[in-house]
Amino acid sequence: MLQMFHVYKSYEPGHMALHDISLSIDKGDFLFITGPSGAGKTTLLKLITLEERVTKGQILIDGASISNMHPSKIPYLRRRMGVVFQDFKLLLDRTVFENVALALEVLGHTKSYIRKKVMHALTEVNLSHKFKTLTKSLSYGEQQKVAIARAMVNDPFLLLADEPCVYLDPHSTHEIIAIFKQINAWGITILFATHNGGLVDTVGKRSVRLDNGRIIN
Amino acid sequence: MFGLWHIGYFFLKVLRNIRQNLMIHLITTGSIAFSLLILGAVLCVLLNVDDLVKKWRREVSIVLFLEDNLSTSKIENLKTEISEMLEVDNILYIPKEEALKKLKTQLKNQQGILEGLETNPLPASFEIRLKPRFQNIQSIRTLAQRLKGFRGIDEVQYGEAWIERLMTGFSLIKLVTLAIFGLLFVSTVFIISNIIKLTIYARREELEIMRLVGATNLFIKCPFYIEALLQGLVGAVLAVATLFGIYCLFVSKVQMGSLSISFLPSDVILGIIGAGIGLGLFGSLVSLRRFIRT
Repeated sequence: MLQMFHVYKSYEPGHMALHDISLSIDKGDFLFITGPSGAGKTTLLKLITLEERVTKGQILIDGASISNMHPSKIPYLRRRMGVVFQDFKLLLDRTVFENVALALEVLGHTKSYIRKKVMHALTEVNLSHKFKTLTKSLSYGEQQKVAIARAMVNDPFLLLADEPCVYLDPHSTHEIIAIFKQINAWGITILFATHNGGLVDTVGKRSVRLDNGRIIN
Repeated sequence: MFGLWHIGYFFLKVLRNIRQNLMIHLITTGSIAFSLLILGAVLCVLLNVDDLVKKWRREVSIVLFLEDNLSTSKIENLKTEISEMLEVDNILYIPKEEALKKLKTQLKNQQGILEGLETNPLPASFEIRLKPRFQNIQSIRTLAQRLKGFRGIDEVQYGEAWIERLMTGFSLIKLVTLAIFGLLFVSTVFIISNIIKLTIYARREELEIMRLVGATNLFIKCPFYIEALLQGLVGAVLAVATLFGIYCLFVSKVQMGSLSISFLPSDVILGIIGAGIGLGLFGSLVSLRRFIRT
């Protein structure tokens, strides 16, 4: 489903953030991208969401190259993906409902459809009772759940998570991992970037380790 | 493309944005209003000066003093010949007697000066008004030169000294006013686009999130365009209303004599409102380009 062939990424001449990355992810996979800070995990995810462009190489999604995708088509690709960030990227002055609904509003769905989908997504993350709550009054763990709900409300084919548990306590981390496992069980492919090797051992899924922009194993 | 739902969504979003960032919106709208108020005032001065110039140009006339003892038929022939000239709009014959009567009226309480006169020293004259397109110093000068050569014309007067000074003065006023107008317009565009940049910067997180969840550039930009349009419209209406208020106050407090000052005509008012909308939209166009990138 997602293939990377000899991908290089350089932000400045003489310095490669990613060096000759080749990997393949099947539909329904749960893949950890591990490595220390600065290894290139976030850059890898940004190349898939086309926040950054490859310097060299190809990225294919369902057989089609996205490396040279026209800027006007990028929003349509992103709608098929969900992304969860370490800093949540929520609008703190909006309610839980409004934050999740945003991902559907950009598609022009009706109010009733949005309401149904949002409440379903919030139910899946056990936050439906707080749909009217302002996001800024939630705990970090709850905010990350809202971010996950927003990421999956559109039924994405791929869910990318960039260090989603870095600010969470062990209990919240455990809850978040459980949610990701449930999402994966529905058939959604997950790419999970983390520097926490313990998580990989706990979940027991496939992993790829990055160091200095190269795949180590 | 966007449907009715989108338009409703955008307007609701705009209203929410205005409510949540009321101070910024007030500052932007106020800045547009103030800039357009100054522009409108300058425009008002420009248009009134232009009207004044046109009015005074219409008053400019060439006076032809006739030789004494011209026969009636000669005067008639001369009048006909001059009235058929391309530049001449109308010609008025003022006989000696009427000239003396006019002078007596102008002298009012000093008519005693004329009591010692045994004969009427004043000549008969023609007063010529020119057609609008010839009401300029060059045409007046050329016509006056030609008329000097006519038999029966003793002297030609058109007050060349003061006309030249008047025309030059008006041209200078117009030039200066236009220059001020141009400078103000450029600085207004600059100020407005920077204020809008600050507005967009304050909401950069929201814009980034919208980009990342798959909003198209147009979807992100539309609410900003609508906001800018509203700010420009409200600012312009405020400017025109304030300018009208100042105009009414000015006209009522200041003795104008025979001068009349008009307010801006309706097409200019619409132009100012259009300029306000344009300013807002242009400012947001320039500012959004920097922040919206895929």
